[in-house]
Amino acid sequence: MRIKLLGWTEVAALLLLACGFVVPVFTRSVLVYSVLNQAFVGVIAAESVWIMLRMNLLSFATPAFMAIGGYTVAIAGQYNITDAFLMTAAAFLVPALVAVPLGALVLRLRGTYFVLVTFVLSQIMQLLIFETPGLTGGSNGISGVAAVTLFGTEMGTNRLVLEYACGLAMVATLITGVLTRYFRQHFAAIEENEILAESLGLVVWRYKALGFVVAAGVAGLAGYSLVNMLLTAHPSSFDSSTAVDFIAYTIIGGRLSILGPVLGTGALVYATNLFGTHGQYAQGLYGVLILVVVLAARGGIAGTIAALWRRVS
Amino acid sequence: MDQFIQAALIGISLGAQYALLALGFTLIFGILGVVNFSHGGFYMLGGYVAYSCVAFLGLPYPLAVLVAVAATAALGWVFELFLLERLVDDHLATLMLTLGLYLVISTGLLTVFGPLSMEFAFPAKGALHMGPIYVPRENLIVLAVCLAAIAALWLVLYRTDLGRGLRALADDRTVAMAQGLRPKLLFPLAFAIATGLAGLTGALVTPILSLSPGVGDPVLATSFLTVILGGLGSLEGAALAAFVVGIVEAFSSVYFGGSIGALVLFVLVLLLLVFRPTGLLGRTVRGA
Amino acid sequence: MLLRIEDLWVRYGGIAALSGISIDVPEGETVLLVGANGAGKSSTINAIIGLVPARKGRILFQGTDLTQIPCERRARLGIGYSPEGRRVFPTMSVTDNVLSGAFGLGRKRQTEALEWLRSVFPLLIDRDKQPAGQLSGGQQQVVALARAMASFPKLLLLDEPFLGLAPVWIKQIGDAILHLRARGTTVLMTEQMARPALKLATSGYVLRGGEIRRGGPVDAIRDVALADEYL
Repeated sequence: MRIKLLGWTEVAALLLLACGFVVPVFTRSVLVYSVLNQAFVGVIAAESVWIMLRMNLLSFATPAFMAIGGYTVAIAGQYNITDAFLMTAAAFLVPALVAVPLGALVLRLRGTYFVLVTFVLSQIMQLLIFETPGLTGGSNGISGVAAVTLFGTEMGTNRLVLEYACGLAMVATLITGVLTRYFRQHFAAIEENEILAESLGLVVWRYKALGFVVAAGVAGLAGYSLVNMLLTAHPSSFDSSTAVDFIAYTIIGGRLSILGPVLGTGALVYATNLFGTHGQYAQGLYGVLILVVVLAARGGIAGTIAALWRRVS
Repeated sequence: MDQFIQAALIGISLGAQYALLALGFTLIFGILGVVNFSHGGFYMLGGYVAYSCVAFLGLPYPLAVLVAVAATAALGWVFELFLLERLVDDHLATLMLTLGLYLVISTGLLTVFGPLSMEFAFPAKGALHMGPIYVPRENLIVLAVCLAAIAALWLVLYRTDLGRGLRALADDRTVAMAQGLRPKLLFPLAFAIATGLAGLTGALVTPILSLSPGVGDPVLATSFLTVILGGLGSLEGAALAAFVVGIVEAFSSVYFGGSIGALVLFVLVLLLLVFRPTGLLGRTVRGA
Repeated sequence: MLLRIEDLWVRYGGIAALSGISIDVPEGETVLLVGANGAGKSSTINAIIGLVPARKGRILFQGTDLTQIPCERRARLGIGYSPEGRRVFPTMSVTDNVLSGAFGLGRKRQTEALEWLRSVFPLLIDRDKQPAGQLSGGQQQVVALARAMASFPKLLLLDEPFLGLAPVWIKQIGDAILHLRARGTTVLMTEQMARPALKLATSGYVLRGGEIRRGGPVDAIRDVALADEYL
């Protein structure tokens, strides 16, 4: 059996993200750059949520693993390690390694407990950052993180930062896409009926643990991208309440394909910026949209577009 | 020694508040199988309703507390009956619905009342001096009301037909339905009782602590902590764990300061979740 | 006829559990459904109480078609149910278990039910405050039986009341069923152990593979029922 590494939805998601490289040709607006940067960080984080959602698991741990990825890079920067490839690998691998023992333990538990564990994890991470000022700078964080260097070029300008964030989002999408394509049937079986999948001989917890580890790595990339954008690793960037935003991006975007987190993040980050300085009101919009999606439009934005498309054609 | 007794008193009064929150949270999980992410929202709402009754309508504070309980219970009842009930068997969907409701409540309060803290003071001032020990009167009143509410909840659950029906549905929903117990009637009531308790806590506690949009977040985290320690769905466990959490929090803030106490509790809860998901009391409870 | 099942079909997923069975339960009698595991006994009981939907056919209780009524409203019509494996409410006390069977009947009727059932089963007094989950299998069966009887039902459904019980308990439960029959309660019970069950029944049906192999008075089905038991 030949397993496709990428389907059309993954390719579409990658192409959509690649548009980020074209934007600087048309505009130099700081606002546009900032919104796009936020969106690229958000897409990666939402994809981390989405991986687990493929197996009917809702994760609140994204900020915790983002923090691990982000602080890894910030701390390495203090030792003048800024190589792009090295840092990307570290931002993915360190959180993934932390997730290995956690995943093996936690994922033998049923769905509701998983939600609670991830919620507790992000609270713990928050407290840990404050309690370890020697390593993380405590409540001050680590500021003045050195810009990343790609093939010896310092990615210091606004435009280069944006392009780098775009590239990271594509890397994360590629990883997420390949994982969920390769194990498509396994994940689908777990989502459909975990007990049945187990009784048919699928070692369910192993796939869940694998998903958890990769999701942690992907979240680490999001943390890296965030730190790289702000040039600061600060505890407020990884506040446990931001988990709700990433969950909202994913659910509202749609859980059926990878286009969901991409479109959901794009739409919601854009909408949030329409609120201007009153960004906190956007949460109300997220809330209403979550209610609507869960009650009326299970496919979210991506699913609704797909349904409309099918009706037209 | 005085400091020790002082900390213990604070711990017990915190514990009573946490117990009210956690009992409601665990009731909803035990009976409906729903993890209620909007619990902190109902706490905030209770605070704001009580505040509005006092500040805008000029109602006496005790009456304002009752209005807050009625309002939060009513909203809980409506939310369960019209939204949650449709998807009550889908763990993930109900969780997302309560999360959505929380975002709507907190943004609604932000829109109406603005981001700043309200001037909402507890009407009873002063303190009791028992030798060297000093206890604020407001804490004593809150403690007394909380304990009375816990006793009332216990009476409802263990001494009435309604309580028997609710516990039967929590133990075995299928058999309970076959006995003629109607979830469509009882689930909204259970949810209303729980959200009413959260509203009561909010109305009582926010004048002492603070009232601003966002005070619901730590409430949710504490409720989580408590019900996991006590074993999801276990009422006795939740009540016991609430006092453990309250006392640990009080002592660690008096003796260590900072967030060490919270960190220790969270790590303990994580270990418990992983190795002993039935909680401290270790009773077998509803499969999560 | 208190209960009449006409051409009842039940399917689980793609698997047929009942293929068009018809059963009559006359008022005041004890009707037995026997058969091996998977013969369709529990499916019949579950379809009557509403835990599985009927694909086709009618279940007439006092002339009302139960298939049109949701599960949680069927008990109110006068049907008591003791499930397979007893399934008492484990965290609730023995007394609360019994009273939960009389939910919403009012304090007077509940007290009446409790006093009557305690006179039939003294165990309910001895263990009144104990959580039902801590009792032995036989004791739990008594609680489940009392719970089913607490609403004074016209029809009592007993799904495998002897399952996993010691002989002394089989005797006790059997006596209780006879006592209920003497009081005029109509019983429909399933049992894998045909021998003790046949002593209690007035008529019965032998099920195999979701179909009725033979039905009629106890003496007419005894040989088929006992032959099946050893299969």
